[in-house]
Amino acid sequence: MKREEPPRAPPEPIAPERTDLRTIVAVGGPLLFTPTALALAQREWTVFGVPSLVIYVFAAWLLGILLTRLLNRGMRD
Amino acid sequence: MLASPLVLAVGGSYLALLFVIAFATDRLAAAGRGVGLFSPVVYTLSLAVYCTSWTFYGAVGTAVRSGLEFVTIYIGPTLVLMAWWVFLPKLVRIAKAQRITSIADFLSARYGKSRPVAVLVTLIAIASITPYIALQLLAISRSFSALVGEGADGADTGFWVAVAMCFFVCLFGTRRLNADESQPGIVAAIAFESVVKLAALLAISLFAVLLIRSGPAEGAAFADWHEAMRNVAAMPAERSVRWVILSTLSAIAIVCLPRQFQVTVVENRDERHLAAASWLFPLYLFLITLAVLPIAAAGLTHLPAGAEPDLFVLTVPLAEGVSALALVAFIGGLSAATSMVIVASLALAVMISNHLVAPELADRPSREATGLTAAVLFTRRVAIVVILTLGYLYSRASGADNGLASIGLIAFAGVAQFAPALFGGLFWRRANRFGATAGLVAGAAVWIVTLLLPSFGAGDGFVLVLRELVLTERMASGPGAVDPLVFGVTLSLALNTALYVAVSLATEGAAIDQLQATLFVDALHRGGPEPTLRRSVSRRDLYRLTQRILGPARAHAMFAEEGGTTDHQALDSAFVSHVEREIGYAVGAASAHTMVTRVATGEPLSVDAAITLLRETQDAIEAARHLGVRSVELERTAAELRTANATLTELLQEKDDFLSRVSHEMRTPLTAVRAFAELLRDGPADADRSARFIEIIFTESERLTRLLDDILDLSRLEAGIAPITVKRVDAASIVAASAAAMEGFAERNGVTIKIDAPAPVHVAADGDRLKQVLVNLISNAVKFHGDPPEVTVAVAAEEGAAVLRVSDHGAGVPDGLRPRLFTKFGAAWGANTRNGAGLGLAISRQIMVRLGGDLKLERSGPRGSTFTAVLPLDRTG
Repeated sequence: MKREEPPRAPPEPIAPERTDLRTIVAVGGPLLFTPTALALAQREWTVFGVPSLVIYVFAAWLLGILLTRLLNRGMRD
Repeated sequence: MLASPLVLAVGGSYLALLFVIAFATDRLAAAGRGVGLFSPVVYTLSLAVYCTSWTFYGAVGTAVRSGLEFVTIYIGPTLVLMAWWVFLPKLVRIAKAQRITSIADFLSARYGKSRPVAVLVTLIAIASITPYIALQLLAISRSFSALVGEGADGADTGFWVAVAMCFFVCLFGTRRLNADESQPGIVAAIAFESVVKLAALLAISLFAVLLIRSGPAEGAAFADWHEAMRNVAAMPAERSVRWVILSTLSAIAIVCLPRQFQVTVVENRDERHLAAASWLFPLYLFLITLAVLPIAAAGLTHLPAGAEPDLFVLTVPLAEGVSALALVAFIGGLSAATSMVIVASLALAVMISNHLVAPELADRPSREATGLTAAVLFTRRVAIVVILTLGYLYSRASGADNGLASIGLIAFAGVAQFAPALFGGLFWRRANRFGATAGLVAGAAVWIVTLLLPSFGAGDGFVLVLRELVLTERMASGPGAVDPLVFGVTLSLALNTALYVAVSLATEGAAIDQLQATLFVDALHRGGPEPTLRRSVSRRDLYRLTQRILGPARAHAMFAEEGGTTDHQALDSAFVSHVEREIGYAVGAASAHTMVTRVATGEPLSVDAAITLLRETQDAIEAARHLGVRSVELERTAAELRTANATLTELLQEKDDFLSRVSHEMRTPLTAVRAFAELLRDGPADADRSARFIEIIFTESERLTRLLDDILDLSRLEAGIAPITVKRVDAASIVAASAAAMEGFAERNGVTIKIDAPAPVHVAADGDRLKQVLVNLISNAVKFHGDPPEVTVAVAAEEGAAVLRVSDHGAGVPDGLRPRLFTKFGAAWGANTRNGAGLGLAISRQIMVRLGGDLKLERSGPRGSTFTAVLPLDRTG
C-alpha cells in the first residue's frame, strides 16, 4: 500500500567546515547591512559618479550571493 | 501618450497569453510531460512573485522620496535565504508530511490542529492582503491613466483586470482538490510573469542609463545626475532604526506572506530546489534593485520637478517619446501586479474555504458524487470573487494620496504577526496553542490600532494616546518622534512575542498539542514510524466520513489501497492519520481532526496512551543522555563499597587477632595456675614450696582478673554503657594525684616524674577516669623511659582546651605500630608485654573520646615520645 511518498534518501552530510562557513555567512550577512556598517561605508568617493554607499551595498550583496552559491553548490545534485 | 485601444489590446493580449501558458502547462502536466516545469529555475522564478507592482513602480518612488531605504525590502529576503538551511528544509518537509495547504493550516496544525489559530491567521491575512491586492489594481489603473493621458478612466482597467484575474484563478487554481496535484498552470504563468517584469525593468533601466548620459532636461528637479544619484543614495542617520525595522519586516515577509508561503513551501516539489533558490532568488532581487537606480536618476534629471516618482518607470520612456518602451513598462507592471493578485487571492481563498467555510459545510449531509469537493471548490471560487471585489472597492475608496509603499509595508507588518508562532513552533517544543493565540490576538490588535486603522485615516487619537503611554515625551511627538511604522511594528511584535512565550510557559497544551509539537520540532531527525494518536475507528464510520468529504470515488480508492473488507474492523492509527490528512487538504487540518475525532471511539484513553508513549520515548532519550552520568555514579558507589569492604575485612581481622590474643593472654596465666595446682594436688611438698606455688597461683589469677576487667571495661566503653560521671574538676590536681600514685612504680624503675602544672585547669570530666588515663600513660612512659630516666607530666590550657602531655625520653613507638597504637592490644605487640595485655591505650582513647576529647601520639622519635590528651575546658566556673 502506498500512502506517502517513499522517504527520500537523506542528503549527503555536509563537511563540518562547510557548516561552519555557512553559519558565518548567515550571521555575518546581517552584520554587513547594519546601520553602523553602512555609516562606515558613507565616504566622499564615488565610482563613475556612483556614491560609495551604493557601491558598498551592492558589492556586499553580491558577495553574499556568491558565498551562498559556493557553500550550497554540492547540495544541488 | 498612447491610444487607449492600443494599450487595452496589448494588455488584453498579454493576459490572454497568460491563459494560454497556464492552459498549455496544465495539459502538458496532465500528459505527464513538462518535467522542466519542476526545475529549480522555475521554482526561483515563482518565488519572484514577491516583486509586485509595489516593486515595479514603487521602488523607484521610494528611492526618490526616501533614498537608499528602498533596498531593505530586497536585502531582508536575501539575508533570510543566506540562512535558508536553518529552517526552510524543515518547513518544507513538515508541510509535505502534514499535507499543509496554507500558512494558516501550518500554524493550526502545529498548535494542536487548533481551529481558533487557523481562523485568526486567516482573518489577519485577509485584513493584511486585501489592501495589498487593492494596491496592485490601483497600480494598474494609475499606470493605464498615465499611459493614455488624462480623461481615461484607469479604474475601469483595474476593474477589467480584476475580472480577468478572477477567471484566471478560478480556472487554473480551483480545478482539483488533491494534495498530490499542485497548480502547474499557475506556477508556469507566475514564472513567466517574473521573467517579463525583470526583463521590462532591465530594459527601461538600460534606456535610463543611456538617457542620463545625454544630459539633463529643462525644468528637472536636478540638473546633474550625480546630484540625483546622491539623493537616491541618501541614508540619513536618524532613519537607521527604520532601516533595521524594514529589513526585519521584509525578512519575515518572504516566509510569512501567504503568497510566499504558498510558492515557497506548499508548491515546492523538491527540497533540493531550496538550495538553488537560496542564491538565484537573491540574484533576481539584486538585479531588480540595481535596475531601480538609473530609472530614479533619469526621472529626477529628465522629468519636470514634481512629477510622480511612483510612475517614473512609465513616464521616463513616455516623456522621451519611446512609446514602445512605455508599453513594455506597462506590461511589466501588469505582470508584476497580476502575478501577485493570482497567487495571493488563491492563497487567501484556500484559507477562507478551509478554515472559515468548510468546517461549517462539513456537518451537512452531502449527496454529491464527489462529496464536499465540489462545495469546497465552489467556496474557493466565491472567495476569490469576494477578495478581488473587496480589493477593487478598496482601491476605489482609498485615494491615490498614499505612496504605494505605505500600503505594502502595512501588509508586511500584518503578516509579520505570524512570525513568532511560525519560527517558535519550528524549534520550541513547549510552545502551545494558548501562547500562539494570545500572541496573535495581541499583535494583531496593536497592528490594527497603530497601522491599519490610521491608513484609513481612523483612530489617530487612540494612537496618540498609545504613543504617550508607551513613549517618552521627546519620542512621542516633535522632530525626534518615533516613526509611526517603527512604533507600530515594534510594539505589536514585542507584545506578540512576549505573550507567546509567557502564555506558552504558563499553560500546558493538550495531548494533540504535544504530539504535533514533536512532529514539527523533530521533523528533520525522526527515524522510524511516525508517532500517531492511537485511535480506534471503525472502518465503516471512517469510510462514510471520507465519502462525505472527498466523494465515493476517492474514498473507495483510498480504502481499496488499505485492503480488507470487514466493516467493523478497527483501522490502524497510521491509516487513520493518513485519511485525516487527506480530508484536511479539503477542509483544513483543524476541521479534519474534529471530524475524525467525532467518529473515533475511546479516544480519550488512547490519547493518554499516545502521550504516555511520547513521554516514554522522551524519557528514553533523556535516560540515554544520563546514562553516562549514572555509570560514573555507579563507579563511585562501587569504590565506596570496596572501601567499606576493606574496612570490614580489617575489622574482622582485628577481631580475630583480638580473640587469639585474648586466648593467648589468658592461656599463659591459666597454664601456670593449672600446673602449680597439679603439683600441689599430686605430691606432698614442703611448706615453703607450697607457699611459693600458692603465691604464683594467686598472682596469675589476679592478672587474669585484671585482663578480664580490662576487656569488660573496653567493651563497655566502646558500647557507650560504661558509667561516666562528668563534673567540674581541676586537671592539675588530677595530674598530681596520678603522679603520686605512680611514684612507687617509678621509683622501682629508677625514674623521676616531673610535674608541670603551674595553675589549675578546670575541665568537665570524670575525675577517676581521667586519672585512669593519666596513670596508664605514666605507666607506659615509665616502662619505656629511656635516658635521662625522667617522665614529664604537663597540663596547660591551650586554644580553649585543656592539654595534658606525658613525655618520656624513650626509643619511641615503632613506625609499623603507630596506625594500630590505640586499637585493642595494639600497644602490646612489642617485645614488652610484661604488664597488662596492651589494652591500656585503647581504653584510654575510648575514655577520652567519651569525655569529649581525644588522645593522640603527638611526637615519637629516638629522643622520646609525647602522648597528648585533650579535653574541653569547663567555663562554667
